[in-house]
Amino acid sequence: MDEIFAIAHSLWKRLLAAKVVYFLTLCAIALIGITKMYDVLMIGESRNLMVDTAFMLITVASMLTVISLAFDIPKELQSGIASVLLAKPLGRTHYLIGKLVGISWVAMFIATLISIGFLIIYGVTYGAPSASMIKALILVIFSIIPMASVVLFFSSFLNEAVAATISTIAIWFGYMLFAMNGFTVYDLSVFNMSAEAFYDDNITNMYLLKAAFSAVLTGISMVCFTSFIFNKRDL
Amino acid sequence: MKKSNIIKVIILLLALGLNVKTLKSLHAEQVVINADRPKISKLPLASFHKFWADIQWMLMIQHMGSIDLTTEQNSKELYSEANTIIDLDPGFYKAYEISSLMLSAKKPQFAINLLKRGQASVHTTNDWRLYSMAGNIRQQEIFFNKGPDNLTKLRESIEFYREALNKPGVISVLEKSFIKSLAQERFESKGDKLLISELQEWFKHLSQSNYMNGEGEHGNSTEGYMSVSEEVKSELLSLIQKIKQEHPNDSKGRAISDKVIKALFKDIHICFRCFHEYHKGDKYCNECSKPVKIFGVCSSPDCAKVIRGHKFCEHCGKHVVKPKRRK
Amino acid sequence: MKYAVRTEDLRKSYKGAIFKRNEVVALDTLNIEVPSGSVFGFLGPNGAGKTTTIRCLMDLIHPSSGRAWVLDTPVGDLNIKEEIGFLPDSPTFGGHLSALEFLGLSAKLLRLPRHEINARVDEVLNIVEMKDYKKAKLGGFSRGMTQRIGIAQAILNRPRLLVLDEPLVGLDPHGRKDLIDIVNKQKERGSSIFFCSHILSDVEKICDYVGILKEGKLLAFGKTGDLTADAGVILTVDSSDQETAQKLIMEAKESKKNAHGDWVLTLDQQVWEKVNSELNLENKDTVKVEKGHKSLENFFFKTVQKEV
Repeated sequence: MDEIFAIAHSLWKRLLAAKVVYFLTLCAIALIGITKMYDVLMIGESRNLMVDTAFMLITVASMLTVISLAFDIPKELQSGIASVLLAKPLGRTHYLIGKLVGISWVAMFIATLISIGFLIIYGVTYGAPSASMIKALILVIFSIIPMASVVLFFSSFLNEAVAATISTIAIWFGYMLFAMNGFTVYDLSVFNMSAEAFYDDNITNMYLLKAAFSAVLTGISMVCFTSFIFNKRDL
Repeated sequence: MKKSNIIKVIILLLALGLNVKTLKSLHAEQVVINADRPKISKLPLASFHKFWADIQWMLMIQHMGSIDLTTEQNSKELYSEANTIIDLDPGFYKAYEISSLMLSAKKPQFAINLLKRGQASVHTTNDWRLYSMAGNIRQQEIFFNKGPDNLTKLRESIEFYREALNKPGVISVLEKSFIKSLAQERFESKGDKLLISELQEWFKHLSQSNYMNGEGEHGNSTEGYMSVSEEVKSELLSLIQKIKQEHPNDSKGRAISDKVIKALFKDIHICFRCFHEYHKGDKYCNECSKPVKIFGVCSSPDCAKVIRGHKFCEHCGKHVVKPKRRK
Repeated sequence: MKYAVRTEDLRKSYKGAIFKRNEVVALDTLNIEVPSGSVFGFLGPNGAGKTTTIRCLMDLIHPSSGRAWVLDTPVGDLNIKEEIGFLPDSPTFGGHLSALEFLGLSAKLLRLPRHEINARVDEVLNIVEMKDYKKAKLGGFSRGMTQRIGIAQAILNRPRLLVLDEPLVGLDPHGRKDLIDIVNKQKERGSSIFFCSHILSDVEKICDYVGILKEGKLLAFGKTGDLTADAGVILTVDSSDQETAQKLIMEAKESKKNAHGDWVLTLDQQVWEKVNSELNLENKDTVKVEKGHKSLENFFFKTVQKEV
């Protein structure tokens, strides 16, 4: 376990040391606040716009963060850093899990920052947010785990640019897989409850728990699948 | 096969199997939480359908702002844009409202279609305004375009108003439009007199809406008494007066007028000319000087003074005849 | 434990990308047995398969066939890696970490006890003379500094087997001397060292055993002393004795002129004995005779060129 957290911590430290992360987070929060100025253009529906923009930006920020893994793993493999790490008593599966945990932490941290900023702005502008809105935000944060595991899979055997592109496409279309009625390794549509957040539909706690469970199961199954491929690979 | 690989395969299969089950359950629950979910557009927009609806909305507002007059062409464009927004966000009330208003003059059927979509959406199905607007659009259509299908449209507008009146928060003024439409329908289909039909429909509507058996103004709970707002009361009285003026000899008109008055003014004594209230012992209306039926006086011809009690006259000590209940 | 490293018919081939043609054999049935506690030098020209062998031993690549053991444990066992230190060729360690952070991470991955990590990291930084740069980011290090950090992370866990791929590259003479000292100290501790290098003189100095690889095939394997070639005899013929020089040039395996215009000729032992008996060169004033010295370099070139 220590090895997993060591790898995760290294990734976490590297990404969160970048000042651009905080700058972009502030920009996202500012953009959310700016939507209030669109009240006239939206004919009084600026609350609608604020909520939708917030969910969109949090999702995009999460996506971009996890997609950075598509650059991290291939780079480590090419440069030999992975060889140095894997020459130590660190199993390849543990390496993958460490990367998944690390990138998930980073993305969740960033998503949480933007969410808190949004909730403060919303609270000041429109009053206290509903429980459904907070639950919908939590669901977006949960969606980071399956997104990250998809990126992990592709980055284990493709080069940087290809892995990033295919991962982006896979995540994008991961929201449409509900059409397959659940017969899929991952399904991101269950984490998208932005409409329910706005219309104060009752997102139950049981739904939240099941979604979290699904996220973890997706992570586990993708890691298992990825490790078969990664273990066969020559470094 | 290595032991670790076997373990991984088992974990993979377990995780996959459990995940499929969980996802199915989540999808079923999604529809329970929000019945509009299956209606959302299948466009590959990741999770940004609602956001894209907002963008399309802003673009549509811009488009609307550039239109001086709705034409066939721009109506089709607006209709398409509105449908796009609704496909992305079926609960977007303003899209139904504003776009149907824009289309109501040139393409009322487009407007009705949009409003019907709004009525079907779980988030707006209880919004009475969507039904009211649909009814008004049909009324507008009938008014501006006299055609052979007017009766059908009239009946359609009646149904819209009826639905609206069943929704929470509806404003009372809608009742008037509803009743007028019903009267109009009777006039068009059966040839009934408009004013009399209107009064009859009012009485029917108020009876069905549990306005009957209300408490009387004097605090007596009496059967057959209609407790309505001042606005409605004034509307009814106005109708009764018009009927009297335009159809003085119509028996149906008289009958319904009497019924309504009795129901409205159960324990209140009013002058039948000016409908002004008069009090115990009054022989003439103090508003229009019409002779009125005296009440609240001792039945003894020697006394005939105004009494307070109900059993004995405090002036002559004789029994007081209890007033008969109006049925 | 008998052998630090052992391979049995180890083979690695890379199939061509299209239709699996143009198979490249990187290693061809390699059989070596490196006794524990010894220093083994792996030599060979570029592309011989040295790095491939090392990566097979470190379980970074999977052999196409054959088997390998490190410290008497089959390659692939995770726990045995706690006993191994590895320095790859031209290492990069991630520029965002400082030396301290990187060594701390390595220590955690090597499962060193937590309470020992800080002390041990300081210790190895001292050994590689990088203590002053412990907080500097690795991205700003020169090649030599990076190599020193690489050595530091390789010896962090006091390994029983140290695997070094071109460890002397990028090091200045001082650094090379330090590395050789480290290797000798590890050897004194009882560790085995397996390394490959192009610097034959250093290999000859420190290695007990040597293996020579070319195009995936093991050409020679054995103790360093046994493998150094007989360099024969070196004759210096005075420029005034052109006649003798002409006769000897035909027999010499190597001939050149020095700064004075004298011929310097190298003859094999057998050839020397023959010409000496014919011309009595030992007694000639114009000919100076020197015994050729044994060298690994000579043996290496002889072995490699034989295969051409």
